[in-house]
Amino acid sequence: MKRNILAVLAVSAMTFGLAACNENPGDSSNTGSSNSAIASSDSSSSNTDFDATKGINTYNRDTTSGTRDGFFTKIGAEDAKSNDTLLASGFVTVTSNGDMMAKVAADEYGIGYSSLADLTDSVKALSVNGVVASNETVKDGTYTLQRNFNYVHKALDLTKVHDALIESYISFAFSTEGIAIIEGDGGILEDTALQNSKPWAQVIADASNATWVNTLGLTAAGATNTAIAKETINFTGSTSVEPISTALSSAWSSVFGANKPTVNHNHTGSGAAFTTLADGTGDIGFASRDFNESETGSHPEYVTGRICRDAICPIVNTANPLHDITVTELRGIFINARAFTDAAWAEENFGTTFEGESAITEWSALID
Amino acid sequence: MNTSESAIAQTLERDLVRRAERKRKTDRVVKGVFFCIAALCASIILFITGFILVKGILPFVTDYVSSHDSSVTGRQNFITFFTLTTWNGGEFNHGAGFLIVNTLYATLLSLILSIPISIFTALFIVRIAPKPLGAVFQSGVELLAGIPSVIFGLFGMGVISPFIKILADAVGYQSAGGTSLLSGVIILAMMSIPTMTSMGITAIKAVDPALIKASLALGASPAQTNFKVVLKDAQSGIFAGIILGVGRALGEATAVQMVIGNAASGPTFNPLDISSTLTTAILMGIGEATPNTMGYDIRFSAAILLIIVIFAIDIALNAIKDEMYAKQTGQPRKRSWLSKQISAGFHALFPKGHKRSLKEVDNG
Repeated sequence: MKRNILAVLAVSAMTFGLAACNENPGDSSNTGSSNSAIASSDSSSSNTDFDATKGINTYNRDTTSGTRDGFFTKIGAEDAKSNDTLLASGFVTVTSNGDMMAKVAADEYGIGYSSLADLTDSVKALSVNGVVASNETVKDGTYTLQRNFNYVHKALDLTKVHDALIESYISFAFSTEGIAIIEGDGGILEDTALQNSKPWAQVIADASNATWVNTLGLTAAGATNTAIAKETINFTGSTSVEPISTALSSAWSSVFGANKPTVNHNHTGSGAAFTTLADGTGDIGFASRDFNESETGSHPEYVTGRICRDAICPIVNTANPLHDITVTELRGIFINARAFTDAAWAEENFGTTFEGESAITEWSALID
Repeated sequence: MNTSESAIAQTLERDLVRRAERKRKTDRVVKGVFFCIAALCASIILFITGFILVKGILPFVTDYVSSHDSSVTGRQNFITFFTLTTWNGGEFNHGAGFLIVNTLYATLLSLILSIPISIFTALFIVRIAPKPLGAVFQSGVELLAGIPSVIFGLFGMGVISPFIKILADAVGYQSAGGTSLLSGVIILAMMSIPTMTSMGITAIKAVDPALIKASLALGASPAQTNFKVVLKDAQSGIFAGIILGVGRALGEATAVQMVIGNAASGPTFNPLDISSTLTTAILMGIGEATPNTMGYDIRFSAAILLIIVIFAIDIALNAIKDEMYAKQTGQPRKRSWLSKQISAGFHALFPKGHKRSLKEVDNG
């Protein structure tokens, strides 16, 4: 009996010890999402020597992800975006950019990809073909792994308050104030967009005869139409665009002064942009990819446009000595090895033969 | 005087009758309301399975327009849905057969961990520990049951996966940063232990003290008594707990998804490799999937498989439990027609070991 109790006490002491170990990572959880915080501090504590003879562990998003779509389209293997058999086997599938960084941060031999806007210090972003991803390199096009953030709304009747509000949101997004907010949240815009943008007061003054301005009774001091306060605008679609759209909408709603419309954000994924508009639960939908044919085909009357651009960065563990990678090497790592040995299969599935390229499965192929 | 008295009596009686009638009426209304609520509650299962069935069959019988090229249409092949070893083998080409294997394998491994742990915990709490300590442990175990699965997932990512990584390094295997089947299995075991232990405690508490005293009086040691008398008598109750634990392990998605690696292909048998289950495949990317496309509706097809797997295992385990109970008491239990058919099938398959109890069933 006594021995039993002793054993139990020992076990519970071990449990408490384990819980105490876990406290340190938890402390830093307010710096980012809790997932990545735990894993990142783990990787920093286990900063072991990098063994280049180890195999490469690849990390992918699932087939519905806009980030995955952008990544594989840009590395020249578009067909791999919706077909897992075309990818190098044995990869881990992660649920979000945050999960991607958490998992790569916990695996010294892992490689994945993430949106530049979401990137944190827990992982290391690689330059691609010698170009580091930044606002400048995305703008001038030298950084090739980039994608568009798009919006969609229904055809508008600008004499209606609700529709005029949607029009004013889009106009606000491209005003000087709106562009500052987009850039502040990691969105990248062309220099011309910056040069051509005007302050909001100027935008309203220039459009003083426009239907939407008159419908809302907009002035630089606020809006005179009291019906605005009864309206609700629903924002839906991509979670990647959510930080930008949320920041934009809170600044936008304050330009109406006392007559603020209600703003409602419900972001679930790029796929929801069109569907929520169609079923009436959304007013403005966002996508972190270009809208596909089945979407635009189903509602050709919807208005689409681009908000900004975003870069996708290949990411590795901070313990990894690698700094640069080429697009060819990314293909060698992420694509099914059969594509490099079976030309007929590659032609059938990718529409190209990847001549002279080979599969890369070990870090030693990239690191001297 | 008399007339007025009888008048009063009449009024009183009328009043009583009216009151009784009103009571009966209220009673009937309440009964009706309760019936409606109960019927609604019981029929939700029909709505859910019906909805899943209809939606899940669609990918096999209707043509879907491709999300990438509106001139391309396609449908899912029924045979490849079971034979293909990749879940997303293209837009119209999914394979779920290996997911069934993975799901059953993960559940089996988690049971190997959770069954002994929960039985011994229950035994310790009821039979060995001093009462106050037992009570503390019991509430600890019961509190564990209330922890949401996402918390288990976070714990798995932050503590269990790094631990598995060290373990894999120690045996010279390169794991994906500890993200592995084994991490998922440990999480599943942790999640099913509370249910199984609670049921075990109830079952062990229900053992007749006279049995225990008799065993001790005959000279058996407490350990012998615990294992050969207490556990044996409590086995059908413990087994009922195992059934509930299996249900939890089969159906868990969120926590498992966070640590198992969500492998695209399979099946996986090495516990240090990444894996995926039916639930994780259904959950993966559901937020970004476009409704009414193949990639969305095929998840309902996988859900049908999951429901079938859970039903089949549940029915089989219940049949085994009934069998155990019949064997133990020598009396057949009241059973449903379905479970009788299944245990009959069971006997047809394994005739030797269960001959005696089959006879008992027939006698009953």
